[in-house]
Formats: sequence, C-alpha cells, structure tokens
Amino acid sequence: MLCEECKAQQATVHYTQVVNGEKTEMHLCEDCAKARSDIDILGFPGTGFNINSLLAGLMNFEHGPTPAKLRAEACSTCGADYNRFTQSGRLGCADCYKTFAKQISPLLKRIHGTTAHHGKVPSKGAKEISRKRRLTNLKLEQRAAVESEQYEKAAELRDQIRKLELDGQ
Amino acid sequence: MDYKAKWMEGNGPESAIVVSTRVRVARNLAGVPFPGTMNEIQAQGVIATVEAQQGVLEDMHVQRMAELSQVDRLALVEKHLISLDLANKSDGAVAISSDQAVAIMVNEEDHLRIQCLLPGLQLEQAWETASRYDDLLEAEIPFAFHEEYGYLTACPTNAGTGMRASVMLHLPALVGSGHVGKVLAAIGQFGLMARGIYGEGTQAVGQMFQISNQVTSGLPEEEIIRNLRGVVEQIVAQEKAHLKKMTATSRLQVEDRVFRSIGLLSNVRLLSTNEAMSLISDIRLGVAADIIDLSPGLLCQLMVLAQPGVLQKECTESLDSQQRDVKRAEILSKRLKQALRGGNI
Repeated sequence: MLCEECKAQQATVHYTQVVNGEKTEMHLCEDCAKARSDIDILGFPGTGFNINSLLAGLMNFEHGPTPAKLRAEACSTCGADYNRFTQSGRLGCADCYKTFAKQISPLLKRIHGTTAHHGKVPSKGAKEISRKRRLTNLKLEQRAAVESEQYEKAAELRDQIRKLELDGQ
Repeated sequence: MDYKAKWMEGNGPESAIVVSTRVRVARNLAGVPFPGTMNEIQAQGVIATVEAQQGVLEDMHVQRMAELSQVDRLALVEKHLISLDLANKSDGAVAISSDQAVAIMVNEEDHLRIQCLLPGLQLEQAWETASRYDDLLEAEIPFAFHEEYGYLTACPTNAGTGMRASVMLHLPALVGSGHVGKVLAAIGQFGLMARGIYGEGTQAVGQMFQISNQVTSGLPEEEIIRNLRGVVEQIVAQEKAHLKKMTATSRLQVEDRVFRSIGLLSNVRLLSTNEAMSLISDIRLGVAADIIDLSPGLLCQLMVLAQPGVLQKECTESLDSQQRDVKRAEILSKRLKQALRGGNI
C-alpha cells in the first residue's frame, strides 16, 4: 500500500482515529506521518488524562479553586507560574519548591504521608546537612533553656552553636 | 547493539513468574531548570555534562535521541530501556551500559533517570547498582537536593528518594481464577500500585502486571524495597498456589492449552503482536507449572522480538504491518523450534 499523502513511499503507519464515534483511517509513510502534528507516531494522541492532571485535580480539591493572585505568582528563577503547575502537575525548577512552599508542603504530605526525607543524601553534602540539622536542634534547645531560666545550660549551648557555626565557614 | 538486554536473560530468582525487576532514581542538576521549562541550550548543556562523565561511567555509551532513527528509538522502548516520552523528545539522550542492565535517561521528565533492569526478582541488587551509578555521577555533578524534602523532582510524586522500584509479574493462574483483581486492589494498602502492561487501558495483554512503590518519601530506600519485596513474594506464593490448584483439578486442559500454543507458535505464517503475546503467555504458564522445560530467558526474548521495533531492527528493513506479521511468525517459530529441538522439552 502506498502512502495516501505522498503516494510515493510504502505506507507503514496505519492510523485510526475515533472522534465522537466517527472513525477515520489513514495510511501514511513514516515521513508524512512525522510531518503531521496531529499524529504522535510513537505514542497515542494526548487524551489529557495522566498522573499530572490527576495531581492537578488533587491540588484544586485540597485548596479549592486557586485564587487569581496565586495563579499568576511566578518563580523568580525559572519564570514558571503556579497556574502552570496546577495544570501540568510539574514544577519548573528546584527553586519552585521554595517559591510555592506553602502549597507544595501540604501536597507532599498528602502524597507521601510526610514531607521529611529519610533516605539517601548526597555524600558531598551529607556532613553539611547533619551540621545544619544539629544547629537547628541546638538553637531550639537553647531557646527552651532561656525560657526555663537555665542560664548555665543556655551558655553551654551557645558555645556549641558558635563552634558549629564556625565549622560551617 | 544486540537486541538482548540484561533482563531478557531470564535467569534471576523466581524467573518463571517474575519476569524482571527495575529500580530507577530521578535526579536533577542543581541550578538548571527542569526539562519541562529549560531551553534548548540548557538541554544540550545537560547532555554535554553527562557525556563529559564518560570516564566515570565506565562502559556506558551515550546516544542522543536526535541521532537515532524512529525504529531504533522504538526498539529501545520495547526493550524497556527508555520510556515512550523520551523516545519522542529530540533533546533527550540515553546512556546504556554494555550489558544493557543500566540505562540513564537524560532530559526525560527529570534531567536524569538512572535505572537498572535485571531478570527475575532482584530488587536489592538493582537498587545497589542504580545507587552506585548515582554515587559516581553525584561525585562530579551537584544534584538538586532540599534538606527536608530530599531529592527534588519535576513532579512532587517522585520527590524525596526519587526512587521507583518495580517488578514485572506474569500471573496467568490468578487471572484464570478471577482472583487477580482482589490481590492487586489489596496492595494499595501497602503504599504500592499495580497496573497491567502490554495492552491499552485496563485490558492487560499477556497477563503481565507491574507492581511498584507509590510513595517515594518518608522511608529509606532499603525499607521501600523491603516492603515491595515482601508483597511481591506473597503474590508469587499466591500465583504458585493457584497454579497448583489449576493443574490438580484440570491438568489435561492446562496441558492442552500449553501444547496448543506451542503448536501454533511453531507453525503460524501470520502473527500479530497481541496474538504472539498471548501464545507466549500460555507457554510461560507451562514453564511455571512444570509442564514443559523451556528457559524463561527464551520467552522474554520472544516477547521482545514480537514487538514491531525490535522485529524491524532484526530484519534490518522497514516493514509494513502485514510484512511484519509474516516476519514475526517466521522469526518466532524458528526460535521456538530451535529451542524445542535443543531437547529441553
């Protein structure tokens, strides 16, 4: 069978499209099929239903329709706005996690049951991450010590915090 | 490149029922927008960064999608080394190890998807291998990482470990007894998900199912893998029990189904992919039920050879649909007859 479009090459792509119950068949060669934007030669034409649209639905379900102001808010690093995320389910860059932290944090919790990663950490950054985690904990302890008027303990903690902060420089 | 990927050797543990194991980790380069938002120059930059790691990546070979033909890309999809999404992206690339056990997809949904595919049930081994390649790359390239959230991915469903482990199972006895729906529905309670593969929508062709972890954060990778392994072992035990019951109550019918499919597959002249998948599924049932002695590896290879892309690569020519059915019948029946003559029946 020859390609219906160029009528020169063998038709190797046999495409059946059903729209509203109406069936159209096309027999094309690979080149002509590639040239047509309405045919996804390797896959299926986009039906718009995938994990991302499901996720987007979940977002709307969680927070109700997104307010216009938030929709237009864009990440200063990559320029992707929140609206894009609710539609595609994909973030634009690593900084979007910070830009949209208020929305992403509850979403992560909803998906994974938690926001806290307990797995592998980059070996290069591992030391730094544990230093920062320790620093946060020490500061919390120090505040509690001051509040309960345990000034000696607070001073000890202050020295430990200073030392850790110097390590990081 | 040989059409055989590592997982198609079919020699892993439980390989009569567990076809293959895959572990992939998603990683993104720090400071570069995710593939969905980056521009052409940034995309080329990511590929160049991976290519520059050639020394670290041992025996891996980087191929750009733009330099591969349509058939070559389709064949990689059919061998499960790349996704259909990557095959359709001209600014993507893949690095594949010489034994075709490790494939790193570049510029798919995330900058890097490091995956390891092994035959049979080998979750720990696949994780160790994928993690080792992650370490090798991470020593050279800083990855996007958040202290609380973990590894950052384009889709929040992958954030945290960025790890998705999956196992491909052949479950004809559970399908036959009508229990498969119940079993697969129950696994959702363990943070896992199941889907039928080969075939569109809800109709699974060839009685193949994929089980994978749904949750990628909150637990260490090893624990996610242990959970998945525990559930898969349960499903394998269930399948074995149903196989036993099936052969005890209707041995003759089962034997008839197996040998009928062997007869058909050895003699057909025209064969579609779907018919091939269903015949291979019946023969695999015979192997799992100890009715015939054929290697699971042969069945994996037949399954992949039945797909249009790999088939055309084997024939080194472009074929239309009917020519493919002729060639498919020819190649599959020849391979099966060779194996049967090999005396292992």
